[in-house]
Amino acid sequence: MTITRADIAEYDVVALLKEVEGWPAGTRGHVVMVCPTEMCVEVADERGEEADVVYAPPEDLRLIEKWPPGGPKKAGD
Amino acid sequence: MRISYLASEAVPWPPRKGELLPRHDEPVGIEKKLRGYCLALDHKDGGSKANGFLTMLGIDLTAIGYLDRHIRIGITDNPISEVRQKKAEAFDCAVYIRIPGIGRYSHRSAWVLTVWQLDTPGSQPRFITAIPRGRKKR
Repeated sequence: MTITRADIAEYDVVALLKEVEGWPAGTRGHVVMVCPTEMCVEVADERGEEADVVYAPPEDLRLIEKWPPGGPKKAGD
Repeated sequence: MRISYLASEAVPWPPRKGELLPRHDEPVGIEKKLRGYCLALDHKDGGSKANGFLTMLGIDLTAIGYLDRHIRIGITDNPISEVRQKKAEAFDCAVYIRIPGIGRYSHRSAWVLTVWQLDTPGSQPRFITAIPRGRKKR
């Protein structure tokens, strides 16, 4: 399912639909920051040995799972 | 990499590798991100990272204050290791800083890769994420 900016929230689990900065299509990651035009996604390899933060427009992402399932947690800072 | 200057402040932008994080004494968003994501063991997939913090560094949610404090100290002592501008004409950029020696126990410590968002010249750094022993794909 192709997603739009409005579909994505922080901490959602997504997958890359195309290669981004060396990370192949299909790589899973977490949205760690929602920016006006791009999503900041933390990605890692299957073993967790390599990890990075990449930027991708929402149309280049597939939504895997909203997080948390019941809605965002309230946490102060 | 494009270096531009604001006429009003004469601040080189973006910051460069080797420099300290701009406004490093005023970071925002650390506790919220640590609590809601980095140390959240129940987060799907992301829980593996929380497990990494626990097994590698002995840090879980009960030690959030320890990690928060060491990140704040770490960005005042350690220089930027990488700067990434999303678009050539955009002001915002992501800044990477490695903080060594994080761990609650002497036999379980490692460096932690922290990532920061700078929206505009002069803006406070926003904490994006922390990755225990984070290693970039080459």
